[in-house]
Amino acid sequence: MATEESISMEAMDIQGGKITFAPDVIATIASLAANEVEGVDSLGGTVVEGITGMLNKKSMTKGVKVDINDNTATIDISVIIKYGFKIHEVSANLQRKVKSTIENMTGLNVTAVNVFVQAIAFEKPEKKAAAAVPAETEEKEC
Amino acid sequence: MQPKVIYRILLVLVMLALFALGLCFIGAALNFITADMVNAIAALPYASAINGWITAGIGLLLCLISTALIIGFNSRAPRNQAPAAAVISQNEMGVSSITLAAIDDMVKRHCATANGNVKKCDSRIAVVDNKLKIDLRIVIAEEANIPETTEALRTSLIDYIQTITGIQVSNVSILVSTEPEKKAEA
Repeated sequence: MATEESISMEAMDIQGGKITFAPDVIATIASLAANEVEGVDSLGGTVVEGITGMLNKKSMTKGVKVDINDNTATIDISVIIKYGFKIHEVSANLQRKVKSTIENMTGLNVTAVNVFVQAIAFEKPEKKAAAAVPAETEEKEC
Repeated sequence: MQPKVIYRILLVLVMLALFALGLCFIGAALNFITADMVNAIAALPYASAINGWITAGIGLLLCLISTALIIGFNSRAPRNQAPAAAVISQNEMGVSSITLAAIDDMVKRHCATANGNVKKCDSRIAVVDNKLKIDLRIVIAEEANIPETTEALRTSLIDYIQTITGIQVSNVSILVSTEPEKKAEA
């Protein structure tokens, strides 16, 4: 589990500089990458994270845990997947997307992206009713 | 009665006794309980041998209850909990898993929408040797053919779960039950 300690990249040490990443930065990148994957409804989280999100601004790292050792990272992501999508395909796409995004943006070596599908998001009845209303009005106009 | 329920009952009794004791302290502070009353109560165990035995019995009971609670809450054996998630895949990229609750939601939705003869469905999911074992309890329409309906449901459910999740289904057990008759309206 990432701590307050800075994460340094060994590659940049050679050039006399040092790039450090706050732990939340990696988690935020992973979260944004995960939300871009088709089939992902939202990221899951614990009860504490949910309450914190209600009290404060929405947490960008909800549902993401980052474990850093030297310049390698292990990412644990809890997701909620939309109904109708093949879960194993969405999960595989999520792993590839998060791994490639973090490695490209930070240079860290991502050893594993563990995906935990917390729930399935079914289409809400209100959305179906809202979609049906415009259809009805169109019929009346005709 | 399960031991866990007994410990809860004993704990409630102890809490009630402490509450009563707290009220007595407040009553004494507010002079609702006078010193004479306290002296009279304190003298009761010494009034006769029977009173003494009763007092000893109450004290022994309180000690036993306290001891039972201390032992009960500190000596819980670790439970062999069944896994709450099933593994979808495990490779060089990492591990993908899904909660059994999510699979349960999918099963219930499939039972409700895939077969019009199924009126009601309760399910239970378990993982055995990395494969899913699904137990269904369904209520079907009266005019439906039971063997055909159950076989169609079993086949479609296995195909659906394996296609969507990628997890193998080892067994789908179906119990067909009847719906409780609704009471006639007065």
